[in-house]
Amino acid sequence: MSDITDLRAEIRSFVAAELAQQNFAPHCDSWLIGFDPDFSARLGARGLIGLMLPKEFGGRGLGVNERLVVSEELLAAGAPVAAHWFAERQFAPSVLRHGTDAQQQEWLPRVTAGNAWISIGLSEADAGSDLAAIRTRADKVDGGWAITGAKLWSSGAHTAHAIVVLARTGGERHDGLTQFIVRLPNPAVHIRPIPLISGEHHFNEVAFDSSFVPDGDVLGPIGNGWNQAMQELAFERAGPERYLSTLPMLQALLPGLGHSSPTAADLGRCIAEITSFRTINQRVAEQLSAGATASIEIPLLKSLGTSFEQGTVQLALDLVADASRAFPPSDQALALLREAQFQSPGFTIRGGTNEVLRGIISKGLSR
Amino acid sequence: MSQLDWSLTEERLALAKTVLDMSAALDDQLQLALDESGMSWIGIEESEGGSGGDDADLAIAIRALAGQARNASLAETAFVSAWALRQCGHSEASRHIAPAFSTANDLQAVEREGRWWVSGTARQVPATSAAQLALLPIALGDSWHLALLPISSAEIEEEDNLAGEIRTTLRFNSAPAELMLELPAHLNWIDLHARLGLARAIQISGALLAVRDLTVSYARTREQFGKPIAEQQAVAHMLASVAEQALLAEAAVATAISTPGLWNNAIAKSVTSRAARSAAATAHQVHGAMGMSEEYPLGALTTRLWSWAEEGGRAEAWENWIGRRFMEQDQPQLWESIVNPPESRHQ
Ligand SMILES: Cc1cc2nc3c(=O)[nH]c(=O)nc-3n(C[C@H](O)[C@H](O)[C@H](O)COP(=O)(O)OP(=O)(O)OC[C@H]3O[C@@H](n4cnc5c(N)ncnc54)[C@H](O)[C@@H]3O)c2cc1C
Repeated sequence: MSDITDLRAEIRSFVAAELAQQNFAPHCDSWLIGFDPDFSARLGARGLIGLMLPKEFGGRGLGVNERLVVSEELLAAGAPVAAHWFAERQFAPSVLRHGTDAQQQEWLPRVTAGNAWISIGLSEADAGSDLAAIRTRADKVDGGWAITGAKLWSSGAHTAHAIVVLARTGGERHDGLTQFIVRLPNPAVHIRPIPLISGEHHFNEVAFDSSFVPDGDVLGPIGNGWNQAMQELAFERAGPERYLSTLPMLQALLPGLGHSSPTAADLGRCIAEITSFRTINQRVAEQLSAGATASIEIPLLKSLGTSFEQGTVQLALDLVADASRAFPPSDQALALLREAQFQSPGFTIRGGTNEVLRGIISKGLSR
Repeated sequence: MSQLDWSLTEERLALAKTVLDMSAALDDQLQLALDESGMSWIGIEESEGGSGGDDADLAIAIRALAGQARNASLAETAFVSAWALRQCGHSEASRHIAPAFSTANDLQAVEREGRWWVSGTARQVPATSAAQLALLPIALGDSWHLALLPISSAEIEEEDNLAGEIRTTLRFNSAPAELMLELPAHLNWIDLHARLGLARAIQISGALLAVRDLTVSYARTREQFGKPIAEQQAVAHMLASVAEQALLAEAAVATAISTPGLWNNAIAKSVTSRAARSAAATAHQVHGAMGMSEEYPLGALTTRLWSWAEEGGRAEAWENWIGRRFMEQDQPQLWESIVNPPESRHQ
């Protein structure tokens, strides 16, 4: 317990120092849009990335709860963690579990140093919710594989060191899928930006045309890609980024609110719900570290948390309009609200839509 | 009388089609084409240089433009400013006028040497790129006035709403008014604000119809798991929900157009604003990641819905107004206030 307390103090003092030096301004959805390699490097240098990884790779060999403390503190502060987020969250556990010695030696120290920026290459034009429909394929060639096809909505591919591509090496549907670490930038890989409705550039189309990937960059056994992707998705869905994406916005809107504000009850509800989400999160994190990726509490948490996040955008609009305000919200708070509103449709879509999650939940309940 | 038939005369359908064709064919020339075709002067008597027609005609044109997510200023200039001027017995059929009716302001006017001089700040003024003049509500003694001033006489600060539509802050420092008109005694700031609210409500209802059609057609063509997503019950329910909201919004607007007045304007803006929130979220959910791409047409509509829901008075503000107006009656009767709004009984 005291370990956790010490760790929380450590990450908080790091964040406070970064803020004091104006190294970052808080953002909503900072794990997706807050790309700041220098911040990631400083965090890595303090040993605060990949806490669960073995010490030989620069980790601390700690448990899930410790990792959760660091993650939630960073997200609550709106810190720019996007550069290393996917690498730490799902790439590193996958490499640790399925990677070769050489892959572990190469990538894991980079992850803990905050110097591995990884994009996720799952979705395609015709394979969104129906991920098993992917058509990107890899053909065996001398010394490696040739990948042909296109991934869609790949967040951060334009800045990443590599994209982990799920491609078909044979079979149908869930069988015969394999994961590849495709290094970027890469003359054989074409990345096209897809501007968001805010006009910003975060996700991409990534096209492969017989793009060569050496055997050494195949991740895990041939044909095991579906299982690996499902394990990664469990990590992806089970974190505080599913209920804390808009917290910096809410915090920034508070100054100037009247104490008798009619929205006090709404704020009370936010506090009550986030408190409950944290408890669920600690529980699923423990289940995950014990290897139970099929827990229905993971989709339950994601669907609850992301619906909550969307609700906070409406609450923020109410807080802005609150007539009992002593003074108007700051420009920074309004900018965070705008940012959150543009991002909000994605909350309940990315990482598996809420309808699909609820399908998984109801199947799980009737098992 | 069926209130939902307000839009469906042959002439009005033809009008809608003309607007659609124009907005499809023209990009930055749209405003000019609306002006030259007389569309911009609908609602102004032909004897005064306008194109004739009424609110329902204008609403049809505004709805069509909104469904195309276009930034022409018909809603603000023709529907709001020209109406306000008409209340004072005045008309303008050649220049565009931006209504500063978005938020309460601190504007003041003093009379000196036979002219009125205006000072203060008007915020969130729409249509300032199309307009040459701004129309500013000013309280003088017991009555409300409208001051007409060149926009160029203000210090100007432009901001974008979520859809990239320009909303301007105008700061006047003793600027001379071109005209100072007195509003009739039964009208004040809230009526002007509600007229802007109704304009936004009409736009919302137009955008919602477009969102509904876009979302239904997407769900019927997008296949996952070997069939159109529209065949998933969860998706089918979302489509139904978007259709519910689009209908509700349309009905509230139809009521306000066919039975004009503050009460029905308030109802139209509150109902459409809630519908906008709900349907925008649901339509995005049906579209998955596709809806978040700027290249796909949904975002241009939903960002407008988000902005318009907040502009011209948000849902809660008008609900609050309706509720208070209801409760301040002597022995308020729910059913009676629905059948005979308190407002119509007082006038
Ligand atoms: C901001 C953002 C970032 C993203 N980043 C990445 C990334 O980095 N890498 C990556 O690979 N992908 C990424 N994605 C893509 C994401 O994984 C997909 O959007 C998601 O899996 C849904 O797929 P889709 O968008 O094709 O929607 P679709 O699958 O087409 O779904 C459309 C609608 O149909 C519903 N639906 C579909 N099937 C069913 C069903 N069986 N039952 C009920 N309802 C159903 C859905 O719930 C949804 O409402 C990102 C998406 C977003 C929004």
